[in-house]
Amino acid sequence: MERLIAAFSDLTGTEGVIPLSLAYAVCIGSLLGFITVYAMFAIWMERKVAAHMQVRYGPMETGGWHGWAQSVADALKLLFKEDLFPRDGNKLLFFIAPAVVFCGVFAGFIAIPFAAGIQIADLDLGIFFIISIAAVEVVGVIMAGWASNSKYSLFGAVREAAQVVSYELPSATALLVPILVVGSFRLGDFNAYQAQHGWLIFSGPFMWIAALVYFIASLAGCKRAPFDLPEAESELVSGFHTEYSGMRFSFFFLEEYASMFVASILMATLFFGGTTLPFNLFDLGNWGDYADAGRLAAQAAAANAPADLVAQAARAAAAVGPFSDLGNILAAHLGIVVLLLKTFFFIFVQMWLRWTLPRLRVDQVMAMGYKYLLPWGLFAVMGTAVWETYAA
Amino acid sequence: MIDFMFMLFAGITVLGALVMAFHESIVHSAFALVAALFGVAGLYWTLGADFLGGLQLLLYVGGVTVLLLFAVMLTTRDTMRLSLFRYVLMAPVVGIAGFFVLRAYNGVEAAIAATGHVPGDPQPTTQAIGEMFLAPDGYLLPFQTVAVLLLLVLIGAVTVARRGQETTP
Repeated sequence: MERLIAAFSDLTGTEGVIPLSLAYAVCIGSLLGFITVYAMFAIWMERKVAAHMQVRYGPMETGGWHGWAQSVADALKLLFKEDLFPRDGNKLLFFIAPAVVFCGVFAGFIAIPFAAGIQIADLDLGIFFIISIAAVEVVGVIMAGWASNSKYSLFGAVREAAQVVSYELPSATALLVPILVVGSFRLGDFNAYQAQHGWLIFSGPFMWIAALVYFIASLAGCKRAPFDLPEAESELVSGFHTEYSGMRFSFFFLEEYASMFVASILMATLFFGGTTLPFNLFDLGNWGDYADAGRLAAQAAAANAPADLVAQAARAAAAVGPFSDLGNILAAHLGIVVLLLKTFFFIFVQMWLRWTLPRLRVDQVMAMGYKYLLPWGLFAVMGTAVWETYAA
Repeated sequence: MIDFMFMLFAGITVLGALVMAFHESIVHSAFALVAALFGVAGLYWTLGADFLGGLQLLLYVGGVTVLLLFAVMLTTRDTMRLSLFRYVLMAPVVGIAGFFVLRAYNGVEAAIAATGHVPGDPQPTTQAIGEMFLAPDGYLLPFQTVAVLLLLVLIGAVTVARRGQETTP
């Protein structure tokens, strides 16, 4: 972000608001573009995964090769559909609800590092910011459910409120475990730590429990099966977005797939090594530094640079060595590919579970959250604290 | 820029609070409360208290108001006919009085000056807060005491709510 602002500042020859707003516009635009394209791909992937699990082909016609353009066609259709509004609904709340829902997840993306330096804002709050801003989404869902003036929508919204608020506890508890080991909320620090010490999942027996608890709780947070009670098709038509159509409906869809992405990328970054390969093959985690060598050297040359920054700059300068800048930048992007592959693996697992497991009952969902996941999460936190003090 | 952000979040807060106080539908009031609390979280951010802002979002916007909305929807959809106007005059009086009390307490401005903190220059505060709470020479004992008190309150609330119900499903 700072580099983008600096680049625009050079380009326009101005300081202050103009390069800042241009940089924001580029960041937000590229994120929106990324989420949209990713969501279309993920929807196609979901249909393909579902189809192959049920021994059929899924979409095969549109676009030629295995129906790859099916989602594009669907998106176009949704764009041109009529925007329906339920009689006696609440107009204002009905119209802003999809935006609120989408913003909650979208804002979380600004703290996610796709690779070292490729991140909109390297927030000190990091993970904490992502989970706290995601809480806004629930408000939007309740808004949608209430404003639709339909009992199915209201039931869906109330279920969603109960479920998401309950599952925030185990997922936050489980996320505490890697935070405890690394000692930071900053997501970039997790990549750096794992590049040095290996994947966090291998750093102790309690990490496996935490990863499992987080994954299950994130399924519930994303309203994915087997926790898809808020939109249970066989009971509630389609839950809180029953009354929505066209573009507004597609916002709920975007939100669902975006939150799956956030949950999976957090899983990959926090537990499964982020941008690094297993056993730190090829030293991918540090290659982002290499692309940044010039900037780091400039920062380290400043009068009061912190010691670790100087060390990092020295390491980067030593590593860059004979390679050209372009080569290093390309190499830094390998980390993104690795991270995205891991993320898509977890997205695939989410889809796999959806088409394998039956939906839980409401009381089973609550029992799962409070009686099993939360105690196991707390146990993992305590265990890791002891483990880190004595064993590691 | 930071002035603009401050005005924006202050506007959201004040507007949300006004709608919350004067709208006759209780559900609208609840949603306006969400907006007001969100604005307060933004104000914390512009003042450089990033951890506090995050907590505000997580606990108040995502937690407390969701439960509040939950309760409101399950109870009634009628309009609210409370005579709020008795309190309307009192609110600004209390607010302004509070402001002057704080001003009279000289420590505030000196404390702000001592931190050397420029509003709009967000500093990572998480680590400092953690050390204050958990370091032996910090506020460890009060922190733990408050935690135990909260646990007591929770158990008490469950006990009061469960009175008269023999078994739970």
